[in-house]
Amino acid sequence: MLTTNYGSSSAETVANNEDLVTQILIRVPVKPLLRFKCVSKHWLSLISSSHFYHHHNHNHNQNQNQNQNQNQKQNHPTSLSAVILRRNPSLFQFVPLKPTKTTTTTTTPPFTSLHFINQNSPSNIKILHSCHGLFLCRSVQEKNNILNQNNRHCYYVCNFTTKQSTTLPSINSFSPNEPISIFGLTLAFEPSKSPHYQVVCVRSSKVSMYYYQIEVYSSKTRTWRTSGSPFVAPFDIVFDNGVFCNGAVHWISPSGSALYYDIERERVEKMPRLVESWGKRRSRYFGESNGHLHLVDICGVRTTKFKVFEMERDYSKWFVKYEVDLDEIVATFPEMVRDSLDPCDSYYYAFVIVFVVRNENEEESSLLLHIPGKIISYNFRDKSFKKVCDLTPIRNETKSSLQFGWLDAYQFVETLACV
Amino acid sequence: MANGENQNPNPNPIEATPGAAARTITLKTADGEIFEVEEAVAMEFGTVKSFFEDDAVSATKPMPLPNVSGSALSRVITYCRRSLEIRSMIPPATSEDATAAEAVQGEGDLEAEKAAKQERKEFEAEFLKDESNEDVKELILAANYLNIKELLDFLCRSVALRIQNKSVEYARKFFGIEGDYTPEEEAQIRQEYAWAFEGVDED
Repeated sequence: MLTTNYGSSSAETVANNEDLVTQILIRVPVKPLLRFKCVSKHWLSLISSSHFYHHHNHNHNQNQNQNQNQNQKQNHPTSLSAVILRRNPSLFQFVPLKPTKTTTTTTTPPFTSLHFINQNSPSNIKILHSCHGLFLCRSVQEKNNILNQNNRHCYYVCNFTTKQSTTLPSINSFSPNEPISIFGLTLAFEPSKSPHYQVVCVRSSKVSMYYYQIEVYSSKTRTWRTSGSPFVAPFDIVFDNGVFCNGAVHWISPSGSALYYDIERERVEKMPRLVESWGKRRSRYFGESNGHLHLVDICGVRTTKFKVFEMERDYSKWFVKYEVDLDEIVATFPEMVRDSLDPCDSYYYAFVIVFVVRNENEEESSLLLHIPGKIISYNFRDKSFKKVCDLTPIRNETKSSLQFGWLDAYQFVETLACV
Repeated sequence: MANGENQNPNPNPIEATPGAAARTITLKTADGEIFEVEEAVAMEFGTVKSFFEDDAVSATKPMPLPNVSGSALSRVITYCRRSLEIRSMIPPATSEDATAAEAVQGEGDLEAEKAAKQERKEFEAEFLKDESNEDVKELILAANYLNIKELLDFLCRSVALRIQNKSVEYARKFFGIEGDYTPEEEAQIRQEYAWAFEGVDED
């Protein structure tokens, strides 16, 4: 790491010594590093290299470990720095969560469209999943061949910070005559464990139509491989909304079943069933934050009061992590009330859960809500809330409409990860 | 790393106290200055350590350091001396390794560690307060040549902090780098990462 072989030349400078420049730059956060790509072509290639990313990530992880081991109260919020909202297929809104120096002015988002993935038809690109700053996207290829019955999907893994993307190789059918059915893909990326990512795919198996099979893509090998044995699953498990958390991909079903796939052990396991809720369910949130799985059901009549469930690390049970009461928010933002509906209607209050943000520092764990025209942050501990940003209506939207659900919101964090 | 041996309380960083029990090692810098340094401090320098381990050389012969100036070495010695003092605040039973912090520690140990950490923070903040960018760079080269991991880590961190909110021009000036992009190329990068150019300190 340290070069001790010097010439005795006094012209030796820090800038000439790539090791030293690297040692300094790996301690610089991602955003300034993007700026410093402008310093020189040498710096551009240095900062963009996967070697640099590995170092930078490793250094970051070491700092995190040191802070945790010394029981330092983390003053910074989680690494989640923003949320990306898909307003319509080609328009994204970037909602920063971390306070920046210029909080009053609107900050320029890292990207507004996905043209960098596919120049030809950016509106055909759909974000499927986000994970620690990397995104899994899909495009639908045009049917340009009458004989081709299937719409072939094309999958990409993208880094929206560096505007890099890579196309995943297609998964092969087990036999040329049998078309492959793909039920869902999930991105598995854990920079604190490894700079490489994986993609978990649930597909039809060759055993029988009642069995599923997992295939895993690794960015290290750049190939797909079959993983684990074929397995059965409850009929209504939704495989294309998987949640990656702690080395496993989790899926749930509307009727309450839950499964997860442990990537390292290559096994599909059952998870405790989702907690039964009283009354008609209006919506369900299922997501991950900081290594914890969360579930929220909005149902029944009193929809402003609900619980946030968290899964125990050992998968023994769901437990109530937070209790939420939105009445004060409703009082402050009367536009949430839909007068045209009956108060007992579960859609009487207009709100959508965007994210459950679980922080290392519990004081800062919060709930992100979308109410008409705004995003609100609600603190679980002291029940305080504040507006995070306004959503200016675009074209067809009215001020009181809810533009999207949690499925159209993606966690974002800056990263130099290589795809 | 040596954990504080009998520490010389003499605050004067250059001369060794006559009659001190600690052995001293003599170092000679590129500009001819001679430094007599307590062995414990000198052994913090990886380069010096391997020099004396490889060779059964008498400790009184001055070791040449052709790549280090007197002023840089003096600062380095100050840092290492203070660093050793701070480390000796932590009871020796405690492992230095951060990952072993999970081992059972007494209440007293944790308190001592916290105090040591605070001391180090204050000391480090003071240490570079008045140093110019040129001085810091010279210190980095010295720490690199002398192979002092802790000091190099601290210096790199400090430089990273100094430049991270600054503009591209500042970074170029700091490192003495010429930009080699054409105006079009540079404009393209700036547009690509427009969001990263916000909130930058004035030069």
